[in-house]
Amino acid sequence: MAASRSMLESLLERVRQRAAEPRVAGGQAAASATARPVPVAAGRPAAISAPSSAPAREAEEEVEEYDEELIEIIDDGDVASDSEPEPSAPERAPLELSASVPSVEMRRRVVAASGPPPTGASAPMPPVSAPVAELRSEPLRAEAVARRPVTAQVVHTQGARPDLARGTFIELLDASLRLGR
Amino acid sequence: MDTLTFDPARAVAFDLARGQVTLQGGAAVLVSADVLAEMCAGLDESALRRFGAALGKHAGGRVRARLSAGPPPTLDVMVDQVGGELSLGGLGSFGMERWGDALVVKVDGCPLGSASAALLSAYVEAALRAVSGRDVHAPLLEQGDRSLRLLLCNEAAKAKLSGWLSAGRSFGDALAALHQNPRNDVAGGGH
Repeated sequence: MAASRSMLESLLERVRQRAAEPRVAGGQAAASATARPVPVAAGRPAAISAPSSAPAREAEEEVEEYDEELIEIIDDGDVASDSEPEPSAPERAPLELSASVPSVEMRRRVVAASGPPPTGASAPMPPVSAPVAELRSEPLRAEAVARRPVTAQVVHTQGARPDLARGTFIELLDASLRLGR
Repeated sequence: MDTLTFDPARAVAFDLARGQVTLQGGAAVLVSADVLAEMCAGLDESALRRFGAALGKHAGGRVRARLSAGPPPTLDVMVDQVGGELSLGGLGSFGMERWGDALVVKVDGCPLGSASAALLSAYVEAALRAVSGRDVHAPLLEQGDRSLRLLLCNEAAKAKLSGWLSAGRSFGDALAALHQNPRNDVAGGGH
């Protein structure tokens, strides 16, 4: 840093020396700059209609010449300072990681919410096959055997019935044909 | 060969060279069930019953011929034989139930739709008349989506049954009435 200050001081000294010297070519350049057609920009009328005076412009150009050198010196310092660790850099990595964690948790919550409502905080999830088994058992329960009592009603009104195993078809048919006579 | 058990082997023969189909030795024609159902739907009940009776008479004749040499058939044998004939014709699955003394025929899966009841009633009547020689009537007792029940009864019981069912009684009540009221005095019998 000490070398940079000495260079800066020598540059400032050179600026002062050159500012004290008489300048001729700079006024011509300023005159040609004012005669040059300027593109019309609707958003920036002030930049077009307010050209600065010639001595002021010369001073700006002189400063611009040395600004590049100053910028180089400053850039060197920036490069040297960039090599040092920044205090805020380690905080970025945890933020990025934490942003991905909730998305995973949300998926898990979605899966849990699609199942049956839990009975408690530590209640285990029911197996996937359990609801399927319940659904399959529904039609089986729906099979109606309700007409059977009607058969029993008819049987109880009768006494001894011909045995199916011993009776012939003709005997059973004759018994049926006697009904209603 | 066991004559009491229905044997469907070679019951249907195809002679492709002559374009002939035989059903247990007699000429037969295979038709689509949908086409036959459409044709039956266009017939009046009298014509439909004649068609069913003709089919049943042939089937009953074949059953009687097979059973003539054996002992009197049991209910199981008769179900096997008549049911075999009905199945060969593609007219459904045949079964029999006993409701007290009443014999009830149950047919499942007849593909003829609305014509099933009249056609099968006439079929069963004719087949069992051919087998037993009795004056069997088989009126419709109950009809579901793909099944129906027919009661095997005499002519008087058939008329009573028709009246009870028309009055809105269930077929179970009608069968009970046939058993508890031999003289068909249904009102006095509490049914």
